Amino acid sequence: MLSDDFLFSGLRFPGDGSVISDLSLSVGVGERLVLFGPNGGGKTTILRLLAGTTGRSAMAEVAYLPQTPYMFRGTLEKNLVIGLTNGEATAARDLAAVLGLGALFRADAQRLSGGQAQRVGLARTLASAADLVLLDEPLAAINAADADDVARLIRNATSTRALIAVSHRIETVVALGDRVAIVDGGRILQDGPPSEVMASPVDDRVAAIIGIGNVVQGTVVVSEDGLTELDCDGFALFVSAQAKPGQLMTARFGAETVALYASRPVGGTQRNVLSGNVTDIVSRGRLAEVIVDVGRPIAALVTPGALDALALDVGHEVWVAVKAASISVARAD
Amino acid sequence: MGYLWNVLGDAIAYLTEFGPDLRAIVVLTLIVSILATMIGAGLGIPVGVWLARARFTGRSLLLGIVNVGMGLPPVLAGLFVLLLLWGDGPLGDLDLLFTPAAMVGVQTMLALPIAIGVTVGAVAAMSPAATEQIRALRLTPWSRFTLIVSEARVGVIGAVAASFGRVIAEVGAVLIVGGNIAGETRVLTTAIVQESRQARFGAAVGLGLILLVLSVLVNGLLTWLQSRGERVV
Repeated sequence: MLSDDFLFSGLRFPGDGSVISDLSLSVGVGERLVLFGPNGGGKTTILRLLAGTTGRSAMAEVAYLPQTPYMFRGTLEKNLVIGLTNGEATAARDLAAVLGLGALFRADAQRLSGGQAQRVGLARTLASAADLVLLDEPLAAINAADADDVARLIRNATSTRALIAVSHRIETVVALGDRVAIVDGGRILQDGPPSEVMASPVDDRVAAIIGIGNVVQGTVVVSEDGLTELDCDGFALFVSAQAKPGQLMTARFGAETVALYASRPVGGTQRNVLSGNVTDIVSRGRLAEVIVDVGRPIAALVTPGALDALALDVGHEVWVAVKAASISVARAD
Repeated sequence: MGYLWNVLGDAIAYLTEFGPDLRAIVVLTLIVSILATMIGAGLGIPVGVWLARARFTGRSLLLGIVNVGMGLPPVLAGLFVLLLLWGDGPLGDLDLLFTPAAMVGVQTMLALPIAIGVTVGAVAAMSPAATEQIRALRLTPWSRFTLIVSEARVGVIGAVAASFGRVIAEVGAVLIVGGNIAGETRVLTTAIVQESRQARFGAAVGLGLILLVLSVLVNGLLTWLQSRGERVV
């Protein structure tokens, strides 16, 4: 268990009886926390309170990337190193080059695209030596094809520091977060590893925000013709991706994409067919969430009718089937 | 119409005789106006930047005082400085009454609230993203200040232009504290008053034309700077 190297308590905005009152938050060095929730839920306000750009002054020395990185008049390079020490500026130039900005250093910063501006802001923020890094929607303006690489860069740059990121996209939570905190109405509704929170949301509200689903990490065993086999510590998972053997990947699939069978299904299109025992059945509004232990818990969402048809109960053995095409993957190394 | 043409003819005749007396008036006008603008804007811009961003009790009161100051009747400012500098007044020993220094002082008093007020408006009108980014960066007070002025440059140049405009057009306050002494404290505006009162309209119009040209030149320069600032955006 990580220590609470940064512990914030009594966060409030903008005063008594406000959106955020007496909120506490902690994050340890080497830990990456993603605040996740709907727009207007208070995520950005929490980050701004921590950064000290609203309310009281900053509660720790932080490097903070606002939601819309603003480019000041001048060149990209001037914007890249603004507010940094010489050593940090060198690191920022290196990061910017990795982010594909190397040829644009002399470019007029105010003519950059949203994605380029976000990369400049990211490079500057990550180059800062501050021990706590705060990123507001760091991947929002990054195109999908590059999001994986940029996420890796963020993870590497913050491996010995604490990171708190804000996002309303589940892809970012999976790509960046060791921990996720579900934020809505100015409160943290649930806090834990993404796989745990997604498989076991504490209530319907959290389930509606994050979506019930499964997050699994695995190492690539073999990857051929776009189909990749992951060794997930006890079972194999086939996903639709191209990867190098030995690579660590994170796989995510919604509980609604998981089908349950009373006996081993044959002749179907599912590449992943696993068996296990039902460990829990939780009512989720009009649906039921069935947790099956296949070496690790897998969550499946089924209708009450299907539950009755299979006569499912805790302790029963069932077969779980997931199509490789329903699984999203991202590099996790 | 013939009468007005005659006045204009006299004015041109007056200007063609551009002598040492007239040169002294123009030079003093420029020195007093530019000095007062520089001091007023030099103090007013930093104060305006601070006042636009700081949050403290009494801020609204201070903003109210600045707004009143922007509309302060110049004769009142002149009267106030006159009382200060008068022989028996608190600053009487300085012996500054009816000197260019007194004129610069009163003009600065008039320019300062305008420089502050216009700067507050310009900084407050910056985009929220720029404001948030500036707060987010670890900056020294000086680099934060220069960054803000650079971002709000169009409005800040406007603050300088508005200060200069008020100062160069001002007549009541400089008349009271300067005394319109020929060769010592006479500036274009007070000279115009003097010539008008003595019905020397040709001279008055000639002086007015110089004032107009100076005003156009300085404001033209500032407008050019403003448009250069805008083009990058």
